[in-house]
Amino acid sequence: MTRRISRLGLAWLACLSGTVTAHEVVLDMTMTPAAVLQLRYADGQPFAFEAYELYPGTADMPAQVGRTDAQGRLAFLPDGQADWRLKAFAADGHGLDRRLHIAPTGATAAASTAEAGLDHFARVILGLALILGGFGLYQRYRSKQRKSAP
Amino acid sequence: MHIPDGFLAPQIWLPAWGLAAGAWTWAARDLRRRLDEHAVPRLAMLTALAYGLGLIMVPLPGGSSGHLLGVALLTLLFGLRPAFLAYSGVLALQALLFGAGGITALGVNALALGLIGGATAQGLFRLLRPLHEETAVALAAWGSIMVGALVLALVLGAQPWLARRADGTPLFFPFDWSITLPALLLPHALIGIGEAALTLLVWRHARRRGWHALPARAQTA
Repeated sequence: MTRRISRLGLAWLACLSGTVTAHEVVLDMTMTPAAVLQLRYADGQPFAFEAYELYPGTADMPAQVGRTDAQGRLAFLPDGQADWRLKAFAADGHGLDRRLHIAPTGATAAASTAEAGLDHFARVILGLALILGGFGLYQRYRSKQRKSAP
Repeated sequence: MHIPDGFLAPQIWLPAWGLAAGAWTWAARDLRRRLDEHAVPRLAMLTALAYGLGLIMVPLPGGSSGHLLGVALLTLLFGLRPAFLAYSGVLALQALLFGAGGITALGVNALALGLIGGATAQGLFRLLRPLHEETAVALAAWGSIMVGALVLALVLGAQPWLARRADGTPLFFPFDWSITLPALLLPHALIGIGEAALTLLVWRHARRRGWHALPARAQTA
């Protein structure tokens, strides 16, 4: 009888072991290519330690949330999903909301406005030219109006 | 301090665009009378300065960073309406060329920084000028930064309450007032000191160069 109880007890413990170990957090490490995005301000300062959300395709729920590192970087695994949306927030209101296309090789296309199109300096000059040119046109318009006035 | 696209719920940025459009119409009315021909090149130069200031992030203690605006100096030298129009143009260029601030958020940014910030500078200057003119200029500049930051902090911090997913998580900007108010007001208290120093410097220069009727411009919308 005692032996039977012992066997039953052992069998019960063996059954329980699965659920007991289910509370353990297991760490597996694999080395795999990931997409790395780097966020920075226009003057080059990293967008460091700020919150971000990554949405696959047109999903409403983010697939990944977190904070950028000291260099403003974040890494994620596209898992074959090509289209992503990145939202990054600083508590003071700086940040971005950008759609990304992850090429099959893992390289991002159109991830950076700085690399697509004009460089930073050219855009600064273009902005200054538009301001000064705009005011110049306004001044010319006023001058013409004054001359044509009776 | 410019809010980008995707941070604001449509129930905020759509009415803000409507309000801003009305304000731009109001500001453009009678512009020829308010802005003499000699003032236009100066306004162009200082608008270009404001554009440049918004692109230079100044590191602040605590790891954050910020930039000057130049709204107060535009308002005090040229009046509220021309300054509001000029600064709205600056915001539009910064959004289009650098992604610094959004097109959907342009109405909110222009109203908070250009109109409310400018009106604060003008109001404080009028109030304090009888006591001491240069102190009035400095406090007007500091106050314009702080009030602009306060309005943006209130707008941003309201987003988690305005639009949520079914599970209750915020749909747009995730931080509420407990985070946005200190995140914007504390750094901008420091940025405001820089803004006050710059505004005072330009104000003194304008005085020395005989840009006449400065107080008159500052006192008329």
